[in-house]
Parts: sequence; structure tokens; C-alpha cells
Amino acid sequence: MRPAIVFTWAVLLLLPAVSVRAQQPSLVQQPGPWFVGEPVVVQVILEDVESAAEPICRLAGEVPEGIRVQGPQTGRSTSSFLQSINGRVTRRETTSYRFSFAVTADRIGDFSVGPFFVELDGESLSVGSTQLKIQALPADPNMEISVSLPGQVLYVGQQVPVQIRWAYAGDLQEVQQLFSSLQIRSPLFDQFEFDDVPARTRTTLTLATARGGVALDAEVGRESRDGRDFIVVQASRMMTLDRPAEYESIPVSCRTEKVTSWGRNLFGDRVARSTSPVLAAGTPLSFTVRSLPSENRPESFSGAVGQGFSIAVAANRTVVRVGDPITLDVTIRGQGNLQQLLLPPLSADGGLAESDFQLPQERPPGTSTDGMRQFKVTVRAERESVQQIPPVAFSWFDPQQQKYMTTRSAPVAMQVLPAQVISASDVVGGAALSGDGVSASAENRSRQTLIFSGANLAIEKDPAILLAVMESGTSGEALASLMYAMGIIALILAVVAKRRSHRDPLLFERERRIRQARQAIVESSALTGAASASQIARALRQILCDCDGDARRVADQLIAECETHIYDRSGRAGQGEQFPADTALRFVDQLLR
Amino acid sequence: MNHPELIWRSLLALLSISLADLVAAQEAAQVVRAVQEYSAAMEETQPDLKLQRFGIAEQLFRQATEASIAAGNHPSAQLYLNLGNAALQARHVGAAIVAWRRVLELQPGNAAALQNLSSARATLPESVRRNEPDELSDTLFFWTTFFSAAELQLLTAGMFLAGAVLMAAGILKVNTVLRNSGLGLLALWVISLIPWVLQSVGTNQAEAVVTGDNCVLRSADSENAAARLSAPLPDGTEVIVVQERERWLEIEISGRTGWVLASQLEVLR
Repeated sequence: MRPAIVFTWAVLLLLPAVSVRAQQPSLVQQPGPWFVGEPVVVQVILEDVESAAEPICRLAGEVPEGIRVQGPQTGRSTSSFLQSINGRVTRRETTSYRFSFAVTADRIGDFSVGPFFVELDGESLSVGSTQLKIQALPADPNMEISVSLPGQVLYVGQQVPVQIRWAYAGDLQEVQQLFSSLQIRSPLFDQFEFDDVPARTRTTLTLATARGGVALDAEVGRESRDGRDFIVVQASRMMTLDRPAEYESIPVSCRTEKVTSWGRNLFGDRVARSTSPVLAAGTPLSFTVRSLPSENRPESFSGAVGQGFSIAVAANRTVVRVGDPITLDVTIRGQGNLQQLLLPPLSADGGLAESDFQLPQERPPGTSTDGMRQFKVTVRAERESVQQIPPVAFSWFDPQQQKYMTTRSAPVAMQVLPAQVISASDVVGGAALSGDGVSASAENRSRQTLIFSGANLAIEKDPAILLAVMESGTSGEALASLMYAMGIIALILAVVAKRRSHRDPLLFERERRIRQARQAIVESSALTGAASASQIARALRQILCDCDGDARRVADQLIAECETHIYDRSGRAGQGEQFPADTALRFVDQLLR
Repeated sequence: MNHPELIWRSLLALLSISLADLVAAQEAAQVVRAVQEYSAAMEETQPDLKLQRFGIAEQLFRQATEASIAAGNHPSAQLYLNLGNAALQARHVGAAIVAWRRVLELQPGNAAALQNLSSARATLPESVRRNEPDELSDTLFFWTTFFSAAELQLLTAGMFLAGAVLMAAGILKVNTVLRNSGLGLLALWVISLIPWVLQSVGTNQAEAVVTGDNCVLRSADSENAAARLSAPLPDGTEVIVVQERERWLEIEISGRTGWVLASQLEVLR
């Protein structure tokens, strides 16, 4: 025990002497073989950096022709430890950095990538280059990949559905194995913005992008072509085009691991024993992204590109004074780039006239929800003559028809009252309130002729909604009463059942027997003579075992009386006289009590 | 059943069906006309004509609500809301307040009714204005505004039933989880009853709204009795009914009591 403590202390004492300087950076790369079109990850690692420092890494050497380098992506991991020397606790924190470069070769050959430089605290640390021997990946004739766009000519702002289709001619188990390690790549997925919806199903097609894997909801189907049966997996991804340019021959490829030999596991299931990488290349993509035409562009165009847009405007108040704020809810629906939409100018294309309304100087930010974009904007009526909020125009560019389209909202009827002007006499007169405060106020009120600003006096116009019959309260009350009754009954039944289950079964049986005997005695009153006495005696005999002490004696005596009555042929029984059951009944009731 | 009786009964059934359809069609036509009048009034520039058209719209909406009640139904909250809006535009503040309060009975959280009610109350003199107390219970039980009274009743009853059944099962099966779940639901049931109890305690007296311009508060139930205030109660004043006596109602407003003619008020509950 003692040597261990001494050793620990020695280590702790030596720790401060360890250099806190950063080490030389090191270079590691993904193990080979490396193939054309497959990104090779090259990492520059810098360890033991003090946490305050922020190193920067860059590729210094020239990039050879036929090689594309992306990155670096920086990863950092921090570690800290505490040391206690003579009761003094100190904490030290160091960070390790990993700078990852993705190197992709477009052809086979030997390439040298590097050197790399790391700048840390004004000091430049270099690390040598790496040698990559790129080989050709065998193409599989049974595998197909394609990425397609809806057209060759597209427009800035347009949202374009990109169709991704992967197919394989083979049996289902083979396809499942291939699918599990499938990587679909194209620079298209890294160059544009995509509006990705998180996958909701378990059937997904995964794309390999610079930002990591992107899983898309996919559909699986079968297809027969050239005498071969394909299993086809298709998915779609919405791409947003943000700049005009011409794109030519954007490569599309997919890579997976194909089983070269099968084996069986302990349970007899077929499993892959060895695999080798295979590739399929799709038709490269070429397309043009054009700017939106400037001619015939409506004033109310605010960047919307798509189809089927509509605009609705609702006002929070329809009776206002001149100058009162009116909040307009502007809702735009449609298929297109709703996320990027701005509110169109309200005065554009015959909208709200600036002579009638005070309009906001700045465009308000909008909010996007499912398939619509909403804006809240405050306007003020400038004149009493304003009768309505006129239709607000909204324009968009339709890429299919290659022209601008315009729609308008429905007008909102308004009542604009004169602005309230407070004169000096109003101020002086306002102080002269009478004792009860009603008379003077009533006078003021009649002078103001009841002006209601701030009320929302819009009405519902749909007769079906207006004449909808509310549910009768009576049926609700009856249902509620039934529920309460059922609940109480359930509780009572549970308590009773519980109590019965806790009772002594012998006592329960005894009570049952006595009750049966009592019932028989009561029923004996319907009989006559010996029959009634006989039934009472039989009932009493049944409960003899439940009687002890005095009760037993009384029972015996009663039975004896019954028998006397039965065998008294010449006496009362012979004459059909009924045996009095009252005594027996009282006795049984006493037993029950 | 002989043949003539069968024919007679069938005819009666047919007649009752066609009568019901006729009444429904009449109601729909009335509502459509009311909406048309209201829209036309909004666009009317002549003040007198505007007021007249709003008055007609109010009448038509009122007839539609009364027809619905006569048919044994509850009119919809939207119909009451339209009635209130038309009444307000026709300068009948009291009638408007009554209509909006009916909306709130059906839909306690109706934003338009709350907004308009607050707006209309703001026009009344401060001495008779009703201010909704901002009580702690309103804050704690804000969720009750999401449901109508009938829905709340069913919700609480359902909660009791579920709690009782779970507890009964817990007792029978000697299962602590079931029993405690039942107890939890019953505790929730008790909590959900609190706003109802508070409301019942607070509203054991009926409320009424002044719906005329000449509602004089008098010291006794006689037209010759002295007036308690120097001016009549304004249209739209909300009061508490203390007692009823023939044509008269004793009311309380801002701590004062007095008598008014029952015909000048509309009693809410």
C-alpha cells in the first residue's frame, strides 16, 4: 500500500514539469486501397494544445491536376485533469485538433498531396505530404444510378425536385446487402442548398455529402428491362437555385460493397464472408440557371418563384378612427420558395394608396409554417373617406410558363371615423363631474355619439357556420351524470368485493345457511298443519351446527315442538291448524344478529 | 294498424319533415339577408341610412337566434357574435353586450367577443363600468377558457370516471400503480372542479344588462319613487339582480341598490 502512495505522489510532483507546449503535428490518412471518385480522408492531428490557442490548418502545396481537395473540417476534443500538491489543487486543460481534408481523384495515378501548415500562436508548424495511389474501381453492370432534374433551363429562386434513382438487377438478399453499404455521391449535393425533410419512414436512400450522410424517404419498386428484373429505389430532394450559372458534366456515382463469397453462420443463415467494392456511374448532369427576366416584372414581385400562389389579407379591426393602427395579417400560400419570400409592397399594383394609408417604411419579417408564409404589418387610415382595405397584389415568376403572374387578396370593408380631437373646453369641462359620476359622463357620451374604435366588427358570412346548431346542454348533462354514476358504482363494487374477499369464508357460509333457513321458515306460513311444522323443523336442523350453547338448546326445543305438532294426529295438526312460525323466525333473526 | 290510419300517419310524418325543411330554409334566407344588410350598411356613406341598415341586420340576426331557440336548439356562437356586432353598429350597446356575453357562455375564449366587449365597456362612464377582476383563479385556470361549459362538464365527468375505474381496478387487483393513477386522476378532477365552484359561488346572483336609454334607478318599486341617481343608467350598464318583484327588479351597481323596471333590462342568468 505504502509504495503505491509514494509512487502516486511522485507522479503528481513530476506533472508540472511536463511541457505544456504543443507537439509537432502529425499526418494520417484513411487506409487504402483508394479509388477514382472516392474521397480519401487525410487528417492533420495536433495534440496537447493549451485550450486558449486556436490553431489554423491549410494545404500549402499545389493541388495536382485531377485531384479535388475539400476542407478542412475541424474537430476538437478537450481533456482536463486536476492535480493536488500539498493541498493546492490546480486544473489543467488541453485540446487536440483534427483537421480533415477530403481528397477526391478524378483519374487513376499516383498523387502527392501536401505539405500542410498549422499556424499556432503566430508560429507555423509544417507537416509533410502524403502519397496516394488511386486505382480504378470496377463498375458493376447490374447496378445503375441516375440523378435527374425536371429541365435543362432553370431559374434563380426556383425550387427544383431532384430525382435520385438507384437500381440493381439481382435477388433481394443481394440487394439488401448492397443497399446497406451504398454511398451515392455527386458534387451537386454539395454545391447547392437543399430543403430536406427529415425521413419519416424506415425505407431511406442515403446520400454521401461533404456535411455527412443525408437520409431521404424512398420508394422501392420492381422494374423489368432487357429481360432483367431490377429492384429500384427512388427518392426526391428539393434543391434551391441561388445564383445564375452554367453547369456542365457534374458527375454522379455510387459505391457499395459486393459480396464475393457467401457463408453460413451458427444458425444456418446466409451471411457475407468477403466483399469487394463496386461502382456505378450515372449520366453527368448539365443545366443552366438563368436570372429572372427584368422585363414585365411587376411592382408587386418580391422574389417568389413557383406555381399556384394565393394571398389573403385579414384586418384585426374594421371600425377605426383616422390614425388608429390596423394590424393586417397577410398570408401567402403556394408551391415555391416560401422560405425566402418578402412581403410585397402593399401599395404596389393598385394596392393601398399612400394618400389613404400610412404604410410601414420597413418590410416586416415573416414566419413560415406548413405551406404558407405569414406577415403582420401595421397600417393607419389617413382619411375618413377610406371605405376598404383595397386588394393587395402579389406577383411571382412561374418557371413553367416562363412569365410573371399576379394575384390579389379580397378587399376588407372598413369604417373610418373622424379622429378624436380634444379641445381646451373638453379638458376644462372634464373636471366638472357630479357626485354620482353618471350624469356628466352620460352627457359626454351622448355628445360623442357612441364611437367604438378598437372593436372587431367583421362578421361571419357563411350561413352554414351561422346556423350550425350547438349541442344541447341537456344531453351533455345526462352523459356527465351517467359518467359520475358509473364511477361511483365502480368504486362501491370494488370496495364491496374487497370486503367480501376479506371475510372469513366459514362465517359467510354460516350466514348463507341461516338466511336460507329463515327463507324456508317464512315460506312455511303458506303451508298447513304438519307440512309447515315439518319444513320449519327441517330448516332448524340445517342450522343446528351453527348454534352453540343456549342457542343450541333453544333450537332443539323448537325442533321438538315441531315434531310434537307433526305427530299430534288427533290434535291441532290433524285439524289442519298451522304451526306458529313466529318463535322460529325470532330465533333465526337473533342468530343473524 | 288499419290502412287509413297508416296513410294519415305517413302524411303527418311527411308534413312534419317538409315543415322542418321549410323552417330551416326560412332561417337560412333570413341569415343571408342579415349578412347582406350588414355588408350594405358597411358600404353606406349616408349616416342615417347606415344606422337604419345596421338596425335591420340586427333585427334579422335576432329573429334567427329566436327561431333557433324556438326550435329547441342553441344558436351558434357566430350567430350571437354577428348579432352583437350589428347591435353595436346600430348603437344598441346593451343588446350588443348581451349578445357577446352569450358568445362567451358558449365559447369562453372567443377573442372577437372579448375584444368587442372590452371596447363597448370602455365607452361607459367609469362609475358604472364593469371591470373584470384579474383574479388569481383566472391566471391559474386560464385553460378553462379553451372549453365551453358543457365541454368542461364532460371533461371533468370523464376524468372522474377514469379515476374511479382505475382506482377500483387498483383496489381489486391490489395494484399500487393503478390505484395511485386513479387517485391522481381524482385529484385532477377535484382541481378541475375548483373554477366551477368559484364561479358558482361568485355568480349565485343573476346578472342583467340595461338595454334602454331611460332606465331610472329608483329608491322603491314604484314609478313615483325618487330617483337614486341624477341621470338614467346608460345603455349597456351591467348590474347584479338582487330580487324580482312583479314588473320590477332590485339591482345592485357599484355598491348602490335600487329598483328599475324589468322591461328595461335583459337578465342573463
